Amino acid sequence: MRQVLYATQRSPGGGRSSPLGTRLRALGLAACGVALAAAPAMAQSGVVAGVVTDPGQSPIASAQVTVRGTRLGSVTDDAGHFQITGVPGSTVTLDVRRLGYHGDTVTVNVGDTNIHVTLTASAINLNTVVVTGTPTGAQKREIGNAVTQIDAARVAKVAPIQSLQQLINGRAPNVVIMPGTGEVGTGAKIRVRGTSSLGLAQTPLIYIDGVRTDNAQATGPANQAFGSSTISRWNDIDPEDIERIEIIKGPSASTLYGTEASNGVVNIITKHGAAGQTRYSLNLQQGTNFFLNPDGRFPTNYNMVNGQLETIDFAQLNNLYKQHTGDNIFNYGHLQKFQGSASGGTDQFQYYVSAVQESDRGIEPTNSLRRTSGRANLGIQLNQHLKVDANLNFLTGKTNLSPEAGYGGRMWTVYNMDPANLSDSLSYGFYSGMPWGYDEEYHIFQRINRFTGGFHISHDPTSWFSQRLSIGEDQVNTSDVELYSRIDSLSKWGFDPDNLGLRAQTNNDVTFQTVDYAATARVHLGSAITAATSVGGQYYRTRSEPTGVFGDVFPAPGVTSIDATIQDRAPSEDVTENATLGYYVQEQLGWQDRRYLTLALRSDKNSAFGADFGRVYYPKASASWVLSDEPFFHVPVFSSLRLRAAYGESGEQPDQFAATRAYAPATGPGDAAAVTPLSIGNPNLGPERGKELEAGFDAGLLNERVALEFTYYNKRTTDAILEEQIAPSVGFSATRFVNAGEVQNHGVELLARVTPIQNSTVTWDASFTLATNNNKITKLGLEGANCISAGTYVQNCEGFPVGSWFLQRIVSAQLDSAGNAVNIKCDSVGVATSCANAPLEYFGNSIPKHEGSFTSTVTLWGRLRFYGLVDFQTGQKKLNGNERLTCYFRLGGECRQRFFPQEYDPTLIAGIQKQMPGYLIQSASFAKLRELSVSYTVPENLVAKLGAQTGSLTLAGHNLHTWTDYPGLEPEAFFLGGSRSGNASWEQTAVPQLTSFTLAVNLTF
Amino acid sequence: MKFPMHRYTAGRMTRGAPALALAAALVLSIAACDHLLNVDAPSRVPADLIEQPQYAEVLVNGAVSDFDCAAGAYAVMSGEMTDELEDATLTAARWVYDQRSVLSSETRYALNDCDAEGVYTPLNKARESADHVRMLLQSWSDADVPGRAALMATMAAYGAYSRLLLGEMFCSSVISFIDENHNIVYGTELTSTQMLQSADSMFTIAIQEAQAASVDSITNLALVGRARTRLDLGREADALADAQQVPSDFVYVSTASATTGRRNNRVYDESNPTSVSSSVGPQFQHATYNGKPDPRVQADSVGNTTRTGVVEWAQMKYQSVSSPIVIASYNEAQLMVAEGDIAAGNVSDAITIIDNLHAAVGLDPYSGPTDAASVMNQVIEERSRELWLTGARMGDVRRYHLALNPAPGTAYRNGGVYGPDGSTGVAPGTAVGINNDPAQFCLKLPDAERQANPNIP
Repeated sequence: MRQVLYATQRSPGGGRSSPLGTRLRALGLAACGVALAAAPAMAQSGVVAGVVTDPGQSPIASAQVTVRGTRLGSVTDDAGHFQITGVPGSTVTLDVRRLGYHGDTVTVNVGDTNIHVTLTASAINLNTVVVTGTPTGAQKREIGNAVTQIDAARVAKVAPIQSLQQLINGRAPNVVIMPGTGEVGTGAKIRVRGTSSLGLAQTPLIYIDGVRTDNAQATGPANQAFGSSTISRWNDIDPEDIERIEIIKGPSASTLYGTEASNGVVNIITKHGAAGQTRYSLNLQQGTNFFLNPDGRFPTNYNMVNGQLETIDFAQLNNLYKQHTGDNIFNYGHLQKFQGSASGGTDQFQYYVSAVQESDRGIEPTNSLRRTSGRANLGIQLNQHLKVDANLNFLTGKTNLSPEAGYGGRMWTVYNMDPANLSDSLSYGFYSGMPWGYDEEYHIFQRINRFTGGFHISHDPTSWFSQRLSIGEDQVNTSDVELYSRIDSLSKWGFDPDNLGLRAQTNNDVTFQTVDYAATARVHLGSAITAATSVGGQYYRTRSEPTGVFGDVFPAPGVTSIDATIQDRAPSEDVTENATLGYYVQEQLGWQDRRYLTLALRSDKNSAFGADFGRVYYPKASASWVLSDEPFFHVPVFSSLRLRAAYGESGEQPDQFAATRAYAPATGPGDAAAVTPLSIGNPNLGPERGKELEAGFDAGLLNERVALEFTYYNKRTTDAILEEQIAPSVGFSATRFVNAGEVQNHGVELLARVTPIQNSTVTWDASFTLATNNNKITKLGLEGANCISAGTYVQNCEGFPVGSWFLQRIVSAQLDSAGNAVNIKCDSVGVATSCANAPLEYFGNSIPKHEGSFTSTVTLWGRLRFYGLVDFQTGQKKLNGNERLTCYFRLGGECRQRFFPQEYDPTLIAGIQKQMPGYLIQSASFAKLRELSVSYTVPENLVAKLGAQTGSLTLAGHNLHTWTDYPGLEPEAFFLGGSRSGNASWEQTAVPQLTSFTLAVNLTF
Repeated sequence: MKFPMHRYTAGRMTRGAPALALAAALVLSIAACDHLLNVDAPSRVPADLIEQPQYAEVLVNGAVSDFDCAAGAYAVMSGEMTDELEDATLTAARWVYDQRSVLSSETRYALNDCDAEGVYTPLNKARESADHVRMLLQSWSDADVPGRAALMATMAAYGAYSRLLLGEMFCSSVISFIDENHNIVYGTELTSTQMLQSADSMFTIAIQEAQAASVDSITNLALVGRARTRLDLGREADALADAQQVPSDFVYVSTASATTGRRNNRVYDESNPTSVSSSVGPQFQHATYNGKPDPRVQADSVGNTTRTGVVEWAQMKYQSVSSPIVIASYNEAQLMVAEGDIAAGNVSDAITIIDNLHAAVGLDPYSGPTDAASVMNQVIEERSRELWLTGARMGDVRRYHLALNPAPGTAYRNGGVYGPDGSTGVAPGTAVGINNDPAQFCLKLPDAERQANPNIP
């Protein structure tokens, strides 16, 4: 603790007011006036105010400043200013904390409004408080597991971020982002520490400010073949509203979150207001996205035309299209975003309100996103011991998707371009319909209205006891529409029968409800030992009510309503509901603030458990030792060193109704009431149990210039829920869920941050992450079966990774004089044999074995920042479904191998000619220059002319280059949902990750 | 920053005790509220709820609709595998059926539901539905279920028909079931012959129970079914005896409806003037007799050629998604009688039957050679027309060792060659065992069954 060293002369919140700034403040005050009036009056004892900067005098935004021993506090604005009123007494101690910096503690006089606190960067800050499920969270030093924190506000300053998943990508070791497509408005699947389950979704839980929210990752109308949907609910939240993200990666840390948490937990903490004058922030983004290098990604296709071998490539096709339509096949899409926020308040009432309007277009005319959202985070300090927070967010929008990946659309008709169609006046070389035909015919979109709200009551009746009650709900109302217009004239372009019209619409109401109570008592047991006892109970309920209508054929052009369809009208509804009720008790013991031991036990019941399955219990133990705080520790190179280890268990519930033998309602003869077998059920079904041990260290070296975080993890999933294939002869549905298997994931995670240069002119920060994942099914647990099918060409086999590729392997072949493959032999345990009898063999796994990233930020004069992010994934294999189209199925133009077999390996030709697709399983390792940006903080005297306090400009590019040997269109893409998703990575004519450039302007008032 | 810690003192404890007690009470009260775990399942019917005597009719309706749906899919897929239909879809997923080169790893026929061209799973669902409902009916009393005997006979007949179709289409198949304790009882691999023998037994039960209950429609349905089964088994005389008992006005249909997609006439769904996924095969595009169009085989060109080279012809036999499919009739019985007549040397009786069938649709009497082989060929031709797109052709191709056009080995339009036909296969009645003759014209036991059934090595 120290006294204040320096005081600025500028009053907090100062700066010349402009008409714009005045209007904005008036608007904010008016908006909050009602709430302010409602806030209970508290004594105005005094004020403390000041500014927080780094050693280079650059302001530090979003630093938390709290008055020790009270609930009073503030958060610095973009100019680093803070103000706390109602401070009691004559002197107080301020704790100043900011993710990525050493915290500081200063003692100040009440009334001092020129406090200057300087925070120095810290890669390892053991005093950072993280969310753990207990009322007050815990300091990193106290917990035995790694928690990945992403400083969203800081990231946003160097690289405009369009989505939550983009924010996480490359910034959290072993949190693998797998995007399905590059269309705007779509999302990715996320895998944390590998694949743990054989039959269940692998989706981590999401909590936004303590409220569990919809975490669906492949939802919306299907715009890909095989029923694949590509919208993710993860990206509904505006990244600009996020203060930070904390990721708990596995059972060793997620025990308190219980059943459903074994795939990890993502805690999103949004921005909150703090006492002080209203601060306004404007963020304006304009940009464009485009298809980088289509010439190099689409193949040259071949075909015989009038006895001559002809070719066609993308450039040729695009030129022809341009001649006929004046337009390119793929265009530049406009990206646009306006975001504004206001924050501030008094000691009794704090607020953060924001609004965002986003309008993005993709490279196809039918792909766009329009979204408007608003957030209000309100805090009311009812008295010194009681605070109520409300976090409210509303989103409305519409996402239009283009058909792709086998559904048809531009990618489809381009990839299969056919020289045989060049002379066709209706085709111009395209395989199926003309691009504009797809635009006119297919309308695939989702409308959404989403409200997420939570109320949190924090109560500290004594200095040693805290309790919190959170009640929240996430209400997601979507309308998914697939609409085919009736356009009779498209018949001659081959769009029939779709051009007669169709409408399929599903309106879905999804509700997530959270009731979470937790309490912690902290006491000293003697002079050296501290104890924190926590208890908690949670109730989660989710309900999904999709109601669908379908109708085929419109009677006339222009008619699109569902009641106008004249064929195959069909309604549908499939309500699912799930409830979890659990509680926990945790004891945390500390010894001299450097050795910690935590023990916990959680118990859950879930509505999806079988009738014969009771309550489940999950234990947890962790230890943390801050070695560098020990008196005997004298290793100059280490400025901090902590050893940690944790063991914990959590679960993954079975699908709702998986335990129940049930029939489905049906229609019988004469439209009489009937039922049909639906699911065979399993009354003994329980949750999967994830058991994880992790150990590692956090080290700060060379006076915090170098920071290392290393973690080894070993996660074992027991009672893994398998979708056991029921022999079809049983007559019920083909699968049922059983607790049988075991899956192991182990690996290491390394995060290294270095600051090679740090002076008043130049600061260079760099970080490197590397994560490995070794995944293996250690036991399948099914009688007489070492493997079970997990999809087309995908098996789950003992001794192999989950969702591995298994196909027959051609080991020898010859080509005859006509180029036909003959004498084809396949491998059978090392022996070449007839392929008719050859077994399936392992061809690789579909999830990356290694992933990581490298980031570098160079800051000049505290104003000019250059930032870059390269991320990589290796060890995964994809099925190149593109080549399958041109080589295997030969839909339109064909691959070169078909016409020049002698140029290729005979085994490859054999695979193509005999339709044995092992050759399509190809390495999809890649590295991407994901982000590159330059940002400039405009001098205050210039932005003051706009009435602003701070201003910055950022020019950023995304997905600028890919290094890969993968010959398909995009090493990252795959069917995100539907029957070809799961663990398999099947890439086929999806829009690749788009390259984008964005210019962002940030102003604060 | 460190969290404040305090030693226990009487004063502090006293002040915190109510809050602590409240905390404990809250946690315990939440934990005790197990009723909060109750959830709605409005889209599902728990088995315990519906498997009650008062719902017997609903269960029977369900079993019948399971068969109707399976039979529709069977009619389409057996049509594609024979010469009745050819696949007109633009993607490759169904071409292997048209090409007669279906591997046992193919999942469409094995696992898909009946509204997605599946056959193995839907037929087994229909069989097990019928068997299971019959088992339930057996466990209930006549007082519980009015008309129980008729319902049991109906279920026996439907269970038998499912077995018949399994026996005709599959080289081998399996009968598994769920016992009264809800446990799965896996069956062993049955040859076509064994499956047909099982069908024969079930038809016999159906006939006995239907006669006892005086349900003529089910009696006749089972008689036609057993006759067809016995022909498959090479028991022509027994077939003749059954078929001769069928009255002249008998027709039994698999019903269809526009109410739901699952109840649609599947053949119409796949082939109609506005949508041709399965195009009428060339042999059936211009079916005539003595130059007169045969009204039993109606097809129209829709004036389009697919990009895969299929000239699209829509079947016109079924006029809507609600059109029923005949699964047993006097006409079919008569053709079986004719077959028995020929086997017994009564060729002229067989010709009379042909002439009667012709007269019924306005065609000329039979004018071909009258030797037994020629008349038998005409009977086969009559069957192909009379029973067109009803799911009978598959069994006929196998039973009569029919050669299909295009012939095996002929280049398929989308690559590869056509697979075997009836002339290269092994007829029903021949033990085929596990290692099926690769040339046999039938669908292999799916890998999905082989991998999941512990009784099959």
